[in-house]
Amino acid sequence: MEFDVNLLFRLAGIGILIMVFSQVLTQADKKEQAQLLTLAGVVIVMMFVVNMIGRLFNAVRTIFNIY
Amino acid sequence: MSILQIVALAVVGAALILVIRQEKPELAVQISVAAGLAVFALIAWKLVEVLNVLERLAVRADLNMVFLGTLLRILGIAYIAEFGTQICRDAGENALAFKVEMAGKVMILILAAPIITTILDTVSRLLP
Repeated sequence: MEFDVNLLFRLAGIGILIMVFSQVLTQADKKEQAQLLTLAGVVIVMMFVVNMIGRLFNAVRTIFNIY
Repeated sequence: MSILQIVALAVVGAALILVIRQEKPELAVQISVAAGLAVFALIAWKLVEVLNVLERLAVRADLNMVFLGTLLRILGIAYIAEFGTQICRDAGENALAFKVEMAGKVMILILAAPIITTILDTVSRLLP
């Protein structure tokens, strides 16, 4: 299972970016857009994470011989 | 020294998650999952070596390989179930975590049932 540690930093970067932008949007009285931005961020990060979880399951399946 | 790598990764990940958790707890959960997977990826292939040693020992001791396979399968199920439980608990869903734990236990019991039956057979043969 190859793993790019940079991916962790990328995900954290996305998180911090979304945090800042949603704060700005909230300050500018655009609560709905801030919420949508958060939702989009969650979906983007989840795409990466779900991929990784799939790879983890495959690795565990090959290591422990589960079919 | 991959232990240094792992510890550094975990500490940096914890710091990043701490920053994000204040504002966006839903993102923090996912990033903590990613950090956990990163640590697992670093030790996965070392685990393969350990399991190879275990297998060689089992061959040397003339163990039935079916038992070792079942044992490894149980370990895998336990690990995956624990992984899911921890994620649910991190997200504050204790009820869901308990159910995942329960499912893991049931699966393990199903796999272990033949071994338990074998042991009971052996015991009953030893007894007059």
